Amino acid sequence: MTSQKPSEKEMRDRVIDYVSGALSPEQHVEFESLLSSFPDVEEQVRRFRVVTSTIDAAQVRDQLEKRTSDLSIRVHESLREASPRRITWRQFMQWSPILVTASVVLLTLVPHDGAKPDARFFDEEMEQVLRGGSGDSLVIFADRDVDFSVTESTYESGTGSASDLALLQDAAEDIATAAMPHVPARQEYVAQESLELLIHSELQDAEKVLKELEDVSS
Amino acid sequence: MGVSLAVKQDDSAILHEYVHGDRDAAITAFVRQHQRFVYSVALRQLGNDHDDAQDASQDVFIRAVRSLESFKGESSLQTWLYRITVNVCHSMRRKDKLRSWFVRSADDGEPVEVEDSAPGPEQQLMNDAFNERLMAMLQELPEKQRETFCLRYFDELSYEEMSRMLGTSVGGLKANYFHAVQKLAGMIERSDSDRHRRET
Repeated sequence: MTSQKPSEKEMRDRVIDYVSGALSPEQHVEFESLLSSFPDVEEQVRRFRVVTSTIDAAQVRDQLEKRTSDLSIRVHESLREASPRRITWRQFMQWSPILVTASVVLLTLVPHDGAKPDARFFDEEMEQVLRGGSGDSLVIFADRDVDFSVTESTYESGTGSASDLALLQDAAEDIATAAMPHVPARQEYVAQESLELLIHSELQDAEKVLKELEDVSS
Repeated sequence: MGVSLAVKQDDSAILHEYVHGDRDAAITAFVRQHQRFVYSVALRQLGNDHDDAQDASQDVFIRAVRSLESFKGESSLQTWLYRITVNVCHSMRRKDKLRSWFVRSADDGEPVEVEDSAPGPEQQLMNDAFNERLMAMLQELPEKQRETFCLRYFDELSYEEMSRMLGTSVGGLKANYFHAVQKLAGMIERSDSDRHRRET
């Protein structure tokens, strides 16, 4: 702060630093000694003091600390799990409406003139989608049976774990069976497609999937 | 408030311990040092839902620990964690939105079963009058002002550090902070005035 009397603008600029304790001890004393000459700035400081005297930051910090007191234990437990399962069964059940809806949508898309799925769904583009763009061997096609092979790096990159995928695969098959009990030839295909959709929803842009399905539904 | 280094001293020690020493101890120190910050950011991002904020915080640290070894130190760990937290919370909100859309579609007009969101006994104890009043006031602020105020007031971040986190100029942050405080003061005074009137 200069030795000359500061302008009101200069004083205003220093209000935040003053209240935040960012001024040096000398600047702090000087600021306080000049306050009475600037009624508007004094009013601003008064309002700052209303906040600091009402909201006890230390108390809030203490409460937040208590709420997270067991977080390090939970993080350790999660990391120690031999095969981390990022999706619990309860979480999966919350997603099951997606699979059911997807199955219905797919039934409307799949031609019904034969049991064999349309080859257009198994082109390179689909494979690319199933690979999740991770560059890892996420999915290997063999005789149109989906064989899941998830590498450690795939999991580390946050794109799912083997246990997650096995869980989803089983569940997708169950749901497809339930959705089409009288069309066994379609079940595998719909389970496969549903699974792809779910993985896609989990790993890719969920909002985009939502939009696509909204378009299909409408 | 001092100038924040790109990588704080404690962060350096944690990273060194993680790479060269006791990993478990380093993880514990890492989580404990930043747990309050990550949780509070998640809480704001997820609309003050305690359970979701806890889940998000756990997810953030698991992701962070898995990438800790490759952390380049181009920003502070806190800035890095802030970005991960915002991304995790954003992803959670989108999944919730997606899930709610499908539940609504699947029900086809039937009333949607909404999970009871009432706080449990433990949370009820924590939701004392002060917290409720404070949270309500903070919710009244525009998002940028709220985030700036909380990062500065509760997390005691420097404007320079906040600038790196939020991608906003220091001047802009100071203005946000100033307006947030002025609005909060007005709310507190009105609230006190109303309470005084009721009591008399």
